[in-house]
This record gives sequence, C-alpha cells and structure tokens, in this order.
Amino acid sequence: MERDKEKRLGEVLLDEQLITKQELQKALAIQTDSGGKLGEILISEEFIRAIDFYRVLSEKLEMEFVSDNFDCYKEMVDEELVRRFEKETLMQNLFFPLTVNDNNLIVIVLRQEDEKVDKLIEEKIGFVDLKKIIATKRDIQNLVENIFKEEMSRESVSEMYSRQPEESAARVFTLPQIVFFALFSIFSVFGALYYPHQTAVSFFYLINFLFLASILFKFLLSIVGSYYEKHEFISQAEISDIDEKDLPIYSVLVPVYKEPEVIEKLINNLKDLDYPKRKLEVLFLFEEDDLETINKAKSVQTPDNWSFIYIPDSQPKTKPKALNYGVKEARGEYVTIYDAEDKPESDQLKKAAAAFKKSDDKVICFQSALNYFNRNENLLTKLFTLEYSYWFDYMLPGLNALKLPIPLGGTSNHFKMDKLRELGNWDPFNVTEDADLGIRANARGYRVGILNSTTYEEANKEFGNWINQRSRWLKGYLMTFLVHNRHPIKFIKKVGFRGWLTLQVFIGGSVITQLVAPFFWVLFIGWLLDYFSFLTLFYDSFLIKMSLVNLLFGNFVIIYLASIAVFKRNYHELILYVILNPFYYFMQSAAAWKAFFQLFSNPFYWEKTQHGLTSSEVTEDD
Amino acid sequence: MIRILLFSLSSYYLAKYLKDRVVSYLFIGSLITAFFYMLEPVIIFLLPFYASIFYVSCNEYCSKKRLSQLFVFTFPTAAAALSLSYISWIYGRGFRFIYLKGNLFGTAVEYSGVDLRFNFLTDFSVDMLLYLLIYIFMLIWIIYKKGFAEPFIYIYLMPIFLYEVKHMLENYNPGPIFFSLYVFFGLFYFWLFKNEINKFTKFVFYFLLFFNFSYLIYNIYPSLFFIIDYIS
Repeated sequence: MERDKEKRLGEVLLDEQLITKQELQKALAIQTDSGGKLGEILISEEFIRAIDFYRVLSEKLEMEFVSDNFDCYKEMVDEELVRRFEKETLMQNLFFPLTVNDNNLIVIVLRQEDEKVDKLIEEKIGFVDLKKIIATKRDIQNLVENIFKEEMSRESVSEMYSRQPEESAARVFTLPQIVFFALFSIFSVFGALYYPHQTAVSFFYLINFLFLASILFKFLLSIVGSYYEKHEFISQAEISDIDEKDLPIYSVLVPVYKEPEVIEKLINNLKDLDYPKRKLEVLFLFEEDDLETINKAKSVQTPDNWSFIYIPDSQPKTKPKALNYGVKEARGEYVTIYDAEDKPESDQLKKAAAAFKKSDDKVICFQSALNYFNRNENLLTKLFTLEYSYWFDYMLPGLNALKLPIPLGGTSNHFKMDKLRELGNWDPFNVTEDADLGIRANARGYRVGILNSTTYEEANKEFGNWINQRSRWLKGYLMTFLVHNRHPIKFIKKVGFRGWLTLQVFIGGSVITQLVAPFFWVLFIGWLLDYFSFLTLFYDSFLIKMSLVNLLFGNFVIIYLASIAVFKRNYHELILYVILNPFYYFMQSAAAWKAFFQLFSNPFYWEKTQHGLTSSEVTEDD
Repeated sequence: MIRILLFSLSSYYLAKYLKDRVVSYLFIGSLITAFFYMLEPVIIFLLPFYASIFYVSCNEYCSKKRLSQLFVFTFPTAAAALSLSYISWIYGRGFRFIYLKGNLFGTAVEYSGVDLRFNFLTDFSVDMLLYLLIYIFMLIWIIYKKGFAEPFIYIYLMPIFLYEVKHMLENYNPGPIFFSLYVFFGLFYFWLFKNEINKFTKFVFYFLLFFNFSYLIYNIYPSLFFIIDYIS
C-alpha cells in the first residue's frame, strides 16, 4: 500500500491488471492531444470500469470509497443538509453533502481536489472541516436524484407552466380564444342560415387566400433556400483546426421509450461520434416502467461516464417531460437531443461547437438536417424522404436566410445550455415541443441557426405508423399556433410582422390547408363530373382565377419543390416519384383530421412512433 | 421587349447552372422559361433542343443527374402548357394539349415559293454584322476559350433557334427590337464569364458593346438621335 502511494496512478492500475500497457499509452496520448484527467479518459474510453478506477483511487488517496458500500452510506444522508444546495448545483458539480459527523462535514466527491466544490460548500455552510470521501459519478447522481426525485418530476411537468403560463400548452385554448372561436362559429352558422350565398363566398375567399399565401410563401422560401445549397456554415477545414482541448463538455440527451429493437444500434451510433469521449456526456432517459428497453440497454456495454436516468411515471408521458427531467442532470455547456433511431454524422458535435463559436450571442440553437437512411424501402419512405430533404435542405435554410422563426425538428437541435434554461426548457404539454421552442426562442429575441450536418433517421415505412407520427406533429403545430397566437399584438411586437406571418402561414396555415384540401378536392371533382354546377353561383371571376392559380400552381409547386430536393443529396433515383406528391398531400390531410380531433379529445397524448421496422442501414452513399 | 429580356434571363440562369451546377439557377431558369412560354408559346418547339442539352450535359460524376435535371427543366413548361390548356377548356375554348396563343397554326403561312429566310438575309445583310456585333464577339470568345464540349455554348445559340422557329411558324421577320435579344445574350454571357476574360478583351467588348448598342438604339428609336442629326 505504501509503495502504491508513491507510484503514479497509471502504474498502480497496471499493477492491479485493470488496464493494459497499450491502453495506458493510448490514454496518455489522448491526454496530450485533448487534455483532461487520466481517470476520466480511461473510463470514457472503456478501458476500465468506473467502480474499479475510483476504488483504486480511493485506496491510493487513503479515502473512504462509497460505491462499495452504497446502501450503508445512503442511510446516513442528512436530507436537510442536502436541501441547502440546489439540485442543479449538486448535479453539475458532482458532489453530495452527506452528513455532519464530529464537526466534520462529510462530502462525497468525484475527486479530492476541486476548488469550485470547496467554494460552493463554503458559500452555503461557511468554514467547516471537510471530510471528503469518493464515489462514482453515477452514485453521486443517484444520491441527488433520490433526494430530489419528486421535485424533479414535478418540475419537469409544471415548471414551465408555473413560470410562464401563457407560453405553455397545458391549457390548449385560453378563454379569449374560446370566446373568439365560439363567436366565429355562431356568426358562421348565422351566416349560413340567413346569408348562405355571402357566407359561402366569404368562406371560399378566405380559404383560397390562405392556400395562395401558403403556396407563395413556400415557393419563396425554396428559392431563397436553394441559393444556400452549397453554402457550408462550418467547413471541413474549420473542423480540422479545432483544438480538442478547447472543446467544452457536450451533453447528449437521448429519450427512449419502448425501443428495445434499436437501443443497441443507437448506443453504437453514439459511440461513433467524433468528440473527446471524456467530454461527451450521454444521458439516456428511460421511462421507469419501460423495463424491456432498460434491460436491453443494460445488456450493452456503455462507457461509465454515460448515464441511465429513469423518469418517474407521471402524466403527461411525453418526450419533452423526459427531456426536462434529464436536462437537470446535464453538465454540458452545450446540449443536443437524439432520438432512438438516430445516426448523426460523426463530426456533428464538433461542427455545432464550432458554429456556436463562430456565431453571435443571439444564436442559441443550431438545427442539423434530418434525413432518412432507408429511403428506398418502399413508396412511403421515398415520398417521406423527398419531403424531409425539401424541408431541411431548402425550406429551413430559406427561413434562416430571411431571419424568420424556425420550427425546430425533433432531434439534433443543439442548444447553449444556459440559454435553454433561460427559455424554460421544453413545454411538456406540447407534442411538438421542438417547433414551439424554436418559435419561443425567436420571440425572446434569439435566433436559431442551421448546421450543415445531417442526422440519419428511420423513415416510417408503414402507413398506420406514419399517420400516427404525422398526426402528432400536426397536433403539435396546432398547439404551437394557438399558444403563440394568444396575444397577437404582443407577439408581433416581439417577432415583427414577418415572424408573425410565418407563424400564421407556415405553422397554422399549413395544417388548416391540409384540413380543408379534401373538401375542395371533392367540390372540384364533383364540379368536373357536373354534380356541383351550383358552385358557379359562388365563384365570381376573381375567385375563379384565384382558385385556378391554387389548383394549378399549387399542385405544380408541390411537385416541383420536391423535385429540387433530390439534388443536394444526389437522391436522383427518387425524381419520378415526385409526381406522386399530391397524393402524399392527401395522406397529410388524413393525418391532419386525426390531429384535429385529438386536439379536443386527447390533446397531450403522445402518439408513439414505432422504430426498428427497417432492415436498412446507413451506407457510404448517405 | 419584356419577352426578350425574359428569354435572355432564363438562358443566363440555365447557362449559369450548367457552369456552376447550383440547382437554384436551374430552378430559376426553368421557371422563367415556363413564364416565357406563357408569353411566347413557340418556345415549346425549342424544348427538345434544351432537353437534349440537359440530358447530355453530364460527366461520369453526375450521370445519375441526367433525368433529374431534365425533369426540373421541362416540368415547369410542361405544367404551364397543361395549365393553359385546362384554362382554355374551362373558358370554353376547348382543351388543347399544347396551348398556342392566337391560334398559331391557323396563321402560319404555307410555303409560297418565296424564300422568306433569304428575304430576311438580304434585308439585313448590310446591317447584320452591326446588329450582332457583340453576340458574335462573345460567341467567338466562348468557342475559342471553351471549345464545343461545354453545354452552355448551345444555350448561347438559342436566339438563332428561336428566330428560326418563329420564322417558320409565324412568318416572322424580325425588326431591330428582336436583335436586342442578341445584345442581351452577349451581355449576359460576358457577365457570366467576366472573371475569366482578360483586360484587353474586356476593353474590346465594352467598345463593341457601346457601338452595337448605339446602332441598335439608333434603329429602334431614331428620334433619340434627332438632336445629333440636327447638330450635324
């Protein structure tokens, strides 16, 4: 033991045969390149288990080691003492004040020397004698979670609503909105009964204007977006120039629910990320009743600096709630989210870190492009891929170039952690919490940027599954539309008229047009077949012209914009499928109606998308 | 004049796409071509020329692109043709798959034994070189610098094809306004390659452009030169 004390830590680990000489050399080489403590590197590179490392460390430093006798220490916890600290402080600095014994404050720490921890204790408790004992990171997190679990669970649901009730979708409709819609309905019924002609004409005009605005807006965005086709915000040279020592801790939140089929692949995908492993903090967020996924995940080897977090069962059971819970344990300067089926490009985190460094302070989030690796699986995946390519490669860059609010996509959005917290994290009641957060960021004067990196996902290949997923997205869009339209004047003051228009046309307008499109198609086909000749009574010369533009130019735009989408990623084999895009629009209409009904019947219900249905993998061509 | 400008602009963007391979140029060029079709339906007879350019202009790195770029180019004009036909039908004028403004086929002259092209050539033989000065200058420069392998050179020849088509179908004998198309083409292509043109050539180009432009204006709006005549 005496001899161990004099030896260097690496030598002790070698002597104990916990690591090999090659592993030690590799870890030392990494330390030279990207800095950091040897122990963290050994653990993050999976050369040693955390429990073994900290046991050896504690022996070397002649300190008590908690993790070998965890339950015993757990009973010693002085809750009142712990609660003098904020849970975020404990989680982020990884220490746990256990109890006071013989005028000694016993503190569980990850390492002996940590001035920041000493200072924090001094601030809260004053000058006391500290007795530090060692535990693994996971055990410290467990102890904190154990004390604050209920509070964390409650906050992950209600924190946003209690801080900013007007920005939360917990109440789907506010009273003024209910009054507005009630009055609108009453006037419509009254008009239909007593002034049917004028009411019908007004209705046709209103919807046709909305269609026209929506078409022209998307058309404009695509033209602008296509100009940025070859623009790379972060170049490969900039990535190569990054000094890994300067990179901050990056937290990756991975909410998974009922995903036993894909969890192993996901873990391997995340292991492929090119980011200093000791600075990469991956937090898997499991619902605590989802034992199948949890057990499957436990059977796969993960580095011990990654965490498994179990979300207590509570309503609403949504992804944003899990994210709110998990983000409290995240220690990174930046944070991102990946879904269960995601395969991000390996340099995405480095790109995002470089992008934040390159941008001004107003940019608090970067959205990576999403695309599909199983695009050629069937007709649905092909059409879905065309839609995603067009959306992420042309529409969002168009919004970005025009500095308009960007509704974030569900995954691969990278945030500055402090700004995310300032925004109030995600709204657990909004089923497209991402889109809502993008608009909210804009309303607070921040901007979302577009990152030239792609995350490949699994496209839905089954119709029913697709409808479920799409209906959730559209329901979320409706919620976002309602939330940000609660105070239109205030909203215009915050985001400007163009931002407001984006919300109306891009978020609300797109769902509304999808809702009414089948109705107009029925009218049109009926009229062609000479069943609805009475329609000519309602259509004056101008309305006919506008309807013709919507019908002809609208369908042209639907097809044409999709045809451009194949270029950026060289998906040329999909080009002829773009002709089927109007039929794809019908499917969206079906999903929109489901979303509409669910908005009233079950607004917070999270339609689960089934993953792991494909046998395709990401290939070199992607 | 708007039509002439549109045609030049669409060709400029299409040539720019073929040069830089940025899809937005193809996107804009194709849309302007479709718009031009609505004003000047005879362009539809040029589509096969364009189509062959877009289908053929692929190297081994982009051979997969053939169909895509062909589709993106032709689809707007095809959609415009279909839309106009549908509108024609809606308004009770019958559904014509290729809508041609002003019943074009009805007014096309039959061959009467007079070679109209010859007429055209004799009418303009004196002025021809002066009208086409800048166009020919750029044509020579492009052929000299790029050879015949680059596809954008064939886009550059489109005004000649357009003239031929209009001449054959409409018995069109162009006035000086039509020749401003050639000046626009010369100008746009100069713009497209200005980074590759040396200072001396640029100087010659500007000089010839000034001369060509003045000559054209003189023929289009002679009254503008009244003051010069008056002084002289």
